[in-house]
Amino acid sequence: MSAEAAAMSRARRAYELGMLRLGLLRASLVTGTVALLIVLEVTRLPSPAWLALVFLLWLGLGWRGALVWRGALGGLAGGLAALALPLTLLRPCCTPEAMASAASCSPQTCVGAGMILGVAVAAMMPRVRGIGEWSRAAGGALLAVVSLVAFRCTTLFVGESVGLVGGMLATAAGVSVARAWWSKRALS
Amino acid sequence: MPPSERDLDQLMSRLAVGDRAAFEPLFRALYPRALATARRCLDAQAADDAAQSTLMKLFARAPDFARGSPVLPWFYAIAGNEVRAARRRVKPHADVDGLPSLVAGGDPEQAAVEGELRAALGQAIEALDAPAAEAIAAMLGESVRPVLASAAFRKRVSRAYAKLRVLLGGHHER
Repeated sequence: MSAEAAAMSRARRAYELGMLRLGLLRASLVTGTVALLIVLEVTRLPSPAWLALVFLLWLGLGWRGALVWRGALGGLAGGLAALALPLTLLRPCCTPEAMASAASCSPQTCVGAGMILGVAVAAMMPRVRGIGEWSRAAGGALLAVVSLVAFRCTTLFVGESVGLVGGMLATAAGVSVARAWWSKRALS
Repeated sequence: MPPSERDLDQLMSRLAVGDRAAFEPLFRALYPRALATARRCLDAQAADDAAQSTLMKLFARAPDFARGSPVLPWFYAIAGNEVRAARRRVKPHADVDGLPSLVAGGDPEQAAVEGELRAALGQAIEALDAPAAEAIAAMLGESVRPVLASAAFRKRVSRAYAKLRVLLGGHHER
């Protein structure tokens, strides 16, 4: 291996470690915020172990950076909003009281809540050029949302979880595609 | 066509936010610069090491890079630090054999004396601490003058000469 190739390999490793350090900082901030919401009893998680999963996922998102991270920021806003707002207001279907009554546990309520959050996620999505960039940003947003919201509903009813996340993603995708179309139209 | 300074700034800004596609063009643009900077003051092996170390530090800190800032001043600051660190690690060695004759005349006895003087001088320089040896080596034209203010360099040379006189059996002068 030439000196330049060896230097490139080591520089690349150093860069990835630098990004990992940044990922650790980002994951700590997000996990800390979620932990704070739990301590303040604003929200509840199925188990403390979920925090470790949240940390690992956000470590990955923070390390990857670029469009994945920028998309994840939109998901973070939507996810934290879902966690911070009162369950009865945002997701009545997922409250323990609603669970007691099968009739009030309707996935369509979750779809509606998801759609509202989807608009927020889409509004925070970065401007992208092409489907490749869009898919990276949307992937980041999806993972971020899932890490913060979906499992909370999954512990109750899978249908509600799918409704919430599906509604959110469908709206986020629709709004972001409309944004891209509008930007393209404005440029032409 | 090599990237312009503006291109380098943009590449570093992209890399800072995690765009890995910017890594290779940036490395290819900066590595020759790091090597050229190091080779001005170091031998080939030490220069390779210093260039590698420069780029490792630069890329390790890439996520901290302030977007929109110029990259080259930052890069050269790191490169300068690495070259200075490499020079500190390698203790300067003054080649006293290349000095002009210390003793007048050309007879064998005087040549023997001169040989001893050179050996003593070489041993004394070897025994000096690194900054003093570096200053003496710079005065003898054997290495590059340390990056110091003129007054600081003069003070260092003065102290080095004083130490050298003591080591050579002289006395400490004030």
